[in-house]
Amino acid sequence: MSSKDPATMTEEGTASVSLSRRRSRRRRAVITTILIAVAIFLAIADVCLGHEVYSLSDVWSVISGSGSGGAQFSIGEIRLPRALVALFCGAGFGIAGTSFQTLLGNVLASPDIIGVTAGANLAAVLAITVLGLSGLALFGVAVAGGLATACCVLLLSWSRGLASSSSPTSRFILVGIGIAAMLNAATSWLMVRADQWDVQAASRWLTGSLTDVGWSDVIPAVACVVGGYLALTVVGKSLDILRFGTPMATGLGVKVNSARAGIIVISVMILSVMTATTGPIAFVSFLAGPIAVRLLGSQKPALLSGAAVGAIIVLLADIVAQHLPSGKVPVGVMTSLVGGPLLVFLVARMMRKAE
Amino acid sequence: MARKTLDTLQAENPQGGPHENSHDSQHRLEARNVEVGYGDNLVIKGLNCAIPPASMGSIVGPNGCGKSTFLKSLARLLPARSGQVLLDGQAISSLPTKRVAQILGILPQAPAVPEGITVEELVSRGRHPHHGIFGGWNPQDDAAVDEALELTGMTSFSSTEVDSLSGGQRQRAWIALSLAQQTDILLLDEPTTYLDMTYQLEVLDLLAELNVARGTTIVMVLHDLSLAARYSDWILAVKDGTAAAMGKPSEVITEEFVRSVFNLESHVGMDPVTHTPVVTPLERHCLAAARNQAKS
Repeated sequence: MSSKDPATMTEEGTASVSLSRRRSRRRRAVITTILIAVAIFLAIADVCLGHEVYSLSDVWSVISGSGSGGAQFSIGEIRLPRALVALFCGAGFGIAGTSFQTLLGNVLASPDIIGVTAGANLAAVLAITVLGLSGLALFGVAVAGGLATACCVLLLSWSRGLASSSSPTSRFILVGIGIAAMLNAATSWLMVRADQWDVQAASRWLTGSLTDVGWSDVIPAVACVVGGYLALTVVGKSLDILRFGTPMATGLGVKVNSARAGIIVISVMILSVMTATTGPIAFVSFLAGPIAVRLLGSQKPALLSGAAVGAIIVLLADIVAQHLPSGKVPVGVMTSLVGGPLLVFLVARMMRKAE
Repeated sequence: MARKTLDTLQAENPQGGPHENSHDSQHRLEARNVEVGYGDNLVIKGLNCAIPPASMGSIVGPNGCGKSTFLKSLARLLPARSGQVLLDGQAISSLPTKRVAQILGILPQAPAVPEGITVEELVSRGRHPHHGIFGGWNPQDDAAVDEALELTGMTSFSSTEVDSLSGGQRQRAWIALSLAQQTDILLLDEPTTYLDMTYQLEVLDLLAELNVARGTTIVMVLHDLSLAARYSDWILAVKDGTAAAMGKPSEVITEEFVRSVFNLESHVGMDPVTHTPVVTPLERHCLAAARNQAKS
C-alpha cells in the first residue's frame, strides 16, 4: 500500500465502498426474494396437503374451473381461500409488527404484545356478538378498537414525547402488556356471555384460527395488505429515518409527528382487518420482525421480508397444526408454542439490560 | 489512511463535481426575539442574533443557560413560542421541512443509533433530504457519501457497526452524515464532547476547512472558551436565556466577560500560536490566599 500514491489509494477505497454498498443491497434483495418464494411455496403446499393429498395439476384444474366435484369443493371452497387468507393475514401481521417494532425501536413493542391486537379483537367480538355486525362495518369497528387501544397505550406511557430508541421504552411495553391482559379478559367474558355459544367460534376469537374462513374473507385481507403495504412504502423512508431519533429525523427533513401518526394508523388498520378475519393469531407480529432482521441485518426497515416471514410462520403453523396426530388444533396455538418462550426470553433479557 | 483535504477535492472537481456549492453560502439565518421553552419553563427569553453567512461561529455559556435550546430553535427542532427564526427572510417554521434540510443541517447531541447499523449506512442517511418520495439512490449520492467518509477519515470503518466504535469515531461518523447532507449551513451541538484533545482539534479543523473551502456557514455550541475563540469568527454568549454578548472573540472574551457570564475569575491572555484569546481560570485557593494577603 505504501508504494502507491495517496490519490489512487483513496480512489480504490471509494470504489470498494460503493461496491460493498451495492453488494449489501443485492444481498438484501436476494434474501427477500427467497423469503417470498418460500411463502408462496408453502401456500401451494397448504392447498395440496391435507386429509386427501392433491397434485399440482388437480389444483390447477380447479383454478381453471375444470376440476372434479370432490376436488372442486375441498380445494376451491376450503383449501384455496384458507391458504390465501393464511398467506395474506400472515403477511399483514408481519408488516404491522415490523413497522411497530421499527418505529418504537424495540422488538417487544409489537402490536400483539402491547395490546393493539387485543383491542381490535375485543372490538370485533363485541361487534359480532352484541351488535351483530359483519362485513365492512365489522372491519370498521375492529380498526376503531385497534386505534383506540394504540392511542390509550401511547397516552398512558407518554413522558416528554414518544421515546426514541435510546430512551427506555420498557414503560410503554409494560403498560401495553397490562392493557392487553385487561382486553383479553373482556373478550373471554364476552365469549362466555354470548348467546350462540359455539366452541369453534370461541377458539377463533381467543386464539386465532383459519378454520372457518371462506372466499368472503379473502378479498378484504388481500386488499388491505396490498394497499397498506403500498401506503407504508410511501412513508417507509421516513420510518427508516425515524429510527435515528426525533431531533435527527427533524433535521433530515422528516415531518416527525405526521409520519409517526401515519405509520401507526396504517399499521393498526392492517392489523385490525387481519384480526377481524382470523382472530388474533398469537405472536406472529412479534416473531416476524426479529426473524427478518436476523436474516437481513438491520440496515434498513425490513417490511417486505417481515411480511414474507409472517406469512411463512402462519402457513407453516397451519400445515403442522392440520397434521398433528392428536387431531387439528387452531393455528394460534401452534404460533404460541414458539412465540411464548421467545417473549419470556426477550423480556428477561430486557430487564437484565435495564439493571 | 490517506485523507483528502477539501483543497485537493476541489482541485479534482474544478466544475464543482458532487458539490455545486463551492461558492460562499448565501443563505441567511436569523433569530428575531425568539422565546423557547419546555412546559412552563421559558429557557430562551427573547434572543436576537443574525448569523453572518459563510462564517464560523460558536455559541457559549454556562450549563443550563439555554445555548443548546437556542441552537435547536435555530434548527427548527423546537418551535419558537414568540418571535421567529428566519431562513432567507422567511419564517423557518413555514418552509417545507425537506427544503430546509437541503440548506440547513443539524447534528444534535447523542442521536439514537439503530442497533447493528454500519457507518456507511448511517452516513448514507444524510442524503435523505435530496430524495423525493419515489426517488432512488444515484451516483451523486455515492459520491457525497464517499467524500464525507474520506473527509472524516472513516472510509476504513465504512462496514463497521456504529455500536462498536469508540466515542471519537462515533462522533466522526455522525459528522460524516452531516457532511453527506451537503448543506450550506451546518449547526452542531457540542461536536467535541467525548473526544480527546487531538480529535477535538481534528473535528474543528475539519469544520474550519469546510467553512473556508466551501463557504459553509458553521454554528456550533462549544464548552471550551479557548477552543471557541481559536476557531470562531464570532462568539455568541448566552446567559439566562438572553444574549450576553456577540462579536469577535478578541473583543468578546475578556476577564470581565468570563466573570459576568461564567461567574469565574480568570486570566485572559493571548495564545502565542493562534493570536486568539486564551482563558486560564484562576485557582480558587490561590485567589483566597491572595485576598488574605491583601487584607493583612
